[in-house]
Amino acid sequence: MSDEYIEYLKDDESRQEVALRLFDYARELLNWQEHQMLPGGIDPQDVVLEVIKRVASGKRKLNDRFPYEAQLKGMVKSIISKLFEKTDAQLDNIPVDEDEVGYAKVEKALGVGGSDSAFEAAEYSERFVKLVENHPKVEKDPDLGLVILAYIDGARVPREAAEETGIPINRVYEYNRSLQKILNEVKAQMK
Amino acid sequence: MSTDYRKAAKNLRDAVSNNSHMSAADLRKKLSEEGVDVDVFLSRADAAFRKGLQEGIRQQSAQAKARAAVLKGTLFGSLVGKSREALIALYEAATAGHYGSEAMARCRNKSAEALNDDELRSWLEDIERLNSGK
Repeated sequence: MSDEYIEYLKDDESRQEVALRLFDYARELLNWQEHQMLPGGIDPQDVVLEVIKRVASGKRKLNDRFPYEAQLKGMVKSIISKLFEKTDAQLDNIPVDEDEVGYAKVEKALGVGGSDSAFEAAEYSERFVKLVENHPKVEKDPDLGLVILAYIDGARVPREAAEETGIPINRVYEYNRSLQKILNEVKAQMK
Repeated sequence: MSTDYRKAAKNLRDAVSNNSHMSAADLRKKLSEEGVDVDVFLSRADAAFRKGLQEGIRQQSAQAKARAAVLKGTLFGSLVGKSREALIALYEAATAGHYGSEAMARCRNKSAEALNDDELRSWLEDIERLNSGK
């Protein structure tokens, strides 16, 4: 039940962990640099606080059929997308419907996701993936290449990538940090 | 078999932004290293959560009042400005069953004479609300 999740969030430790996770997610999503601002002088922190407030007030009900945290991340993503799509949008007026299907693409809103055309988007993705696979760091370290392949094939978290590749989990965490840097470089290259 | 590059690119981006495996301590450390004042952020998050809860309570209370206002007057008409005699007449009519068995049952064991006008008015409003079952 959604109300049970509110009770869960009333616990300081639980709430703080969720807040930190959402904040980190928002920053990762935007490849955030300090002192950078979203349209309207908003930063990812404001977006996360707005999501927390909406859920606590019941303005946005959570759907019991899906993991709650995934829905909160979806709200963060959706609000950020809409801020870019409509630059005069006020944070507290941005609608995020419960039955919203397929949140607007942040990559598209940020101008790094290729065009609307499915063909061009596919071309953009192909170039993106190939640049990652052929990155000098990946060519130098075959294990990093294996981890990347595991993610491409659908591993969702480091544990799954570790199981898939047989590489120790701590090493996969390190590779994740490298991969993050590589993706940022490739994104910048493609702008 | 041809590669679905759109799916592959999405999987890669999702993999690095997926932090569900990280503990609060991991996240705190990571964000601190990136220059975030985590304590300030968390105190803002606490305040946002409290503000949200308060807004929720206010909204619920406003909705309950709005519902009560809609129900008011549905059984006895407007009670505002009605004389004591008129209020007692309503009570007697309700006791006699003119407003249905529910209202009649609720008048049982109640002495209207013992109540002042405001109490009588408020009691009749309560009967309206309870009688509507909402």
